[in-house]
Amino acid sequence: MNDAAILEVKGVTKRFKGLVAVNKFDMLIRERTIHSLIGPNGAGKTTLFNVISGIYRPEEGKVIFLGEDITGRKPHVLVAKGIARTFQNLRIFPNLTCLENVMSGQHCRGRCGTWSSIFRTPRQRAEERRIQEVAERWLERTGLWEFRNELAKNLPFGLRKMLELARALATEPKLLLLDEPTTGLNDKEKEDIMEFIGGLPEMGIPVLLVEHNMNVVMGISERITVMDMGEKIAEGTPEEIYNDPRVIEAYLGREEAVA
Amino acid sequence: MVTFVQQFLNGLTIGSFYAFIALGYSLVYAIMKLINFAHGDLFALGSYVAYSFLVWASAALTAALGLWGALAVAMVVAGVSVAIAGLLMERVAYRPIYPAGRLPAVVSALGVSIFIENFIMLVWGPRYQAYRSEFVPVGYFQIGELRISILQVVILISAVILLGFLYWLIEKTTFGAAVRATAQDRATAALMGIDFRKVIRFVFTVGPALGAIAGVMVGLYYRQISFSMGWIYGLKAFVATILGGIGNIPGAMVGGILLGLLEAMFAGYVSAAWKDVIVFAVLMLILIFRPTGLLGEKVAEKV
Amino acid sequence: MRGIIAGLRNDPRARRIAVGIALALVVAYPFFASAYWVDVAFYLGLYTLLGLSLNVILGEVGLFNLGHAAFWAFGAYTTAILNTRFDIPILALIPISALATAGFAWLVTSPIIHLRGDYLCIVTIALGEIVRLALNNDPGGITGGPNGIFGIDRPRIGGLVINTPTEFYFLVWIIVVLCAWALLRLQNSRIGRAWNYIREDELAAECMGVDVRAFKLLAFTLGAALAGVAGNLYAAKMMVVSPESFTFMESCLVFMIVLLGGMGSVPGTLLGALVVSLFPELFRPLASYRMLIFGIALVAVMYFKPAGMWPRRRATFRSVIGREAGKA
Repeated sequence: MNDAAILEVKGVTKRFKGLVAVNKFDMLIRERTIHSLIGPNGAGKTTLFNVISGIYRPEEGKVIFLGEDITGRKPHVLVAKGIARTFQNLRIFPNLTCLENVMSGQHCRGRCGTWSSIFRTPRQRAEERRIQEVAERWLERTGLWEFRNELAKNLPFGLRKMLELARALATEPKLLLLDEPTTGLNDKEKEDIMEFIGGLPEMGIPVLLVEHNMNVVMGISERITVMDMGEKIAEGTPEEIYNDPRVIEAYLGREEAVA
Repeated sequence: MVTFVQQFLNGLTIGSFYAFIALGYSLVYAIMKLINFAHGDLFALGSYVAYSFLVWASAALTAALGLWGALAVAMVVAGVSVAIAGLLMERVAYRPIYPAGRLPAVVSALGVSIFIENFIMLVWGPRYQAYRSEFVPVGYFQIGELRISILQVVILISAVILLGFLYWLIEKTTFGAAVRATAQDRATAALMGIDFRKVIRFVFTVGPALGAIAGVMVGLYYRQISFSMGWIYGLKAFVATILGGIGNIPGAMVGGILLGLLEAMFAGYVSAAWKDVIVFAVLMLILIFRPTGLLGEKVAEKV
Repeated sequence: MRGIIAGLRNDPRARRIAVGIALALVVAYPFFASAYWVDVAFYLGLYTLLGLSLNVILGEVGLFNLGHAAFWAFGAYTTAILNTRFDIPILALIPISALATAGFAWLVTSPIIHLRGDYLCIVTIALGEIVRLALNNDPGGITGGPNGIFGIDRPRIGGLVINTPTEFYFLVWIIVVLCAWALLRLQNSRIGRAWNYIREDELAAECMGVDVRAFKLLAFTLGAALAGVAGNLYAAKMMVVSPESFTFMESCLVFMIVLLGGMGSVPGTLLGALVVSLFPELFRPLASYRMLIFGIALVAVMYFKPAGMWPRRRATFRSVIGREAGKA
């Protein structure tokens, strides 16, 4: 009945000197879903992302991806295994073209080294071709084709967010972590990007989404986990969360309850 | 035992020189994230300015104020001249370039360094100059087998006073808080009403002035000065800055003193020829095991 | 004029013709220049090679290396020691020096490769100084102390001894052209792009699957290998190596070459080397003032052209999925 589990977070605790940012956190992401992680500012959502994507090593607990324990593995290894992410503060490569930005996603799918690159062996040329092809297709799908030779820093903010998304998708991920993909966008841009994200599970890419905007989250998620002060305070379908008194209390008096 | 104390005192003295110069580096770095390569050359400039001043005026001043009085005046003269040079340098070579990024600023700093070094060479000649004996204080204390020169004592006491004063200024006063705030987050500091120009002026006068004072002391202590001494002292002082942690101003002082001690002890007990190598090797080791310096840096990166 | 250059840049055939003309000029040069100026051109080639070697580390990856002279020195001394003590021929020592220097670089940079920007910078300065001072102190009696090592052989190919300025000129420039070609190939490959990703944003690069540590080390070892080759050529030309040729100032000069020319730009590096080599020559009449002017010139260039004289332009790819720009 249930879809298979893609990612399992088990009892993860992350401490920074005295501060406990994430406390004994459990979460399960299933395939073909969009799973949202919400909570007030400072709840620890990005920290949890950083643990899952390998930037931080948790003090306690495990992260299991497709049945494999990936706790504490380095980020570049996890990308090869199929976890891709975007950043809350946008970290595109500003002085490179959009195409080059998106091509970075395919880096982990290539194998050729220094010598084959200098001598352009047939295998290397085929590999380069594939890298470019995958990147171009994602530029097309995200509506960025006309900017492909433009330097990323010259793009307006909304398109840069799309670019980061394209870049993550170019890694051919099995799980996509999106850190506040709609923050800073206008209403039309929000709609467009959420529509795009909504189509991803059917393409075989489940999504774990961190978001502030409740409307966005309610409309698109199959499942929502609510986080506050590093702990899980609720989990369930959008309807269950909407009516959960603990969630309402956590958001009471805070600005971001409704966008 | 005697050697130990002797070397210890030497180490403290050399360490004071490094601490003075390191403070200047750390201040500029903290505020502008710029490695001011020209800083060491300002130290050398101070030494030379004082030298010329003493050659010109020491006889008259010594008659009027005594030798120590004359030296004090010389330090002030050197300090002020170099402070002016520092302000000029900031205005002409850093401010216009800084918007272009950190690497162009580093090259610009190198350009200024080359300029000052060659300027010194042109004006004062490529050979060593010596601080003449008439303006170097002689006299020493003898405690058993231990010989401590009065000059060394004065240097150490002045170092304590000056560094202590600066520590107080930076850590305990409002203005010092402004400096530290600018170092941590320039934009927010500006929003809080802190005048960035004032902080820059402070940093580019006090830093070089301290370097100049160290320069005079080095001239008196070692007697010989050369136009190229700027960069080796500057380099070691920068090592001291890193040792204490980038952007950490008290750390620069501690780093300087520790470096001086390390150098003196090694030179005294192991080998004088390899003393510079050990200094650099220790630096590398510290950075390998404690990447943010001994006292920890005050610059963080958020993901 | 700008229109012509822009036009040239975009037309691959025009580019090839331009490169061809440049190469022809390089080949023809010694036949119409005096021996003195051919010699100067040798040093231009040497500095270009050094610039290219540092460009990999500083220009492509953005690692602040201010101790590059250490690698140059290591290559030079490896050649000097192995040649004077074991009579190994100079040309055979080119790959050996390259490998040895690469190995040395790998050893010393592995423990420090994770250091952030400015910390790495100071450590490389320290490294440069450690190498120079160590060479000066003559450990184990192999480096000859402050006087260095003399009596280094000339390169030989069969019966031909490379001796004259013209012969050295061709030797260095053949190597420079080969290296430039290889580096341009690397620029336009997964490796080169990975380096640039690291330079732009190290964390993002890591999170996009780039093994940042491995690629940084690769840059250092490759850059060091090329610097080692430069060291070999230097040793063979001077026939003497001593520590005073490999000072911090030399590291600064190579650093400036890369920055003046344009980070990550191969033609830019050549331009940078041109400025740094020619400057002392052109301003020789001004004798002692020329370094003063050089200092001013550095500040001026950074003010007017902070991106360098010939900044790197990103490649525009021809679409592989058959689309042209602008079409829906």
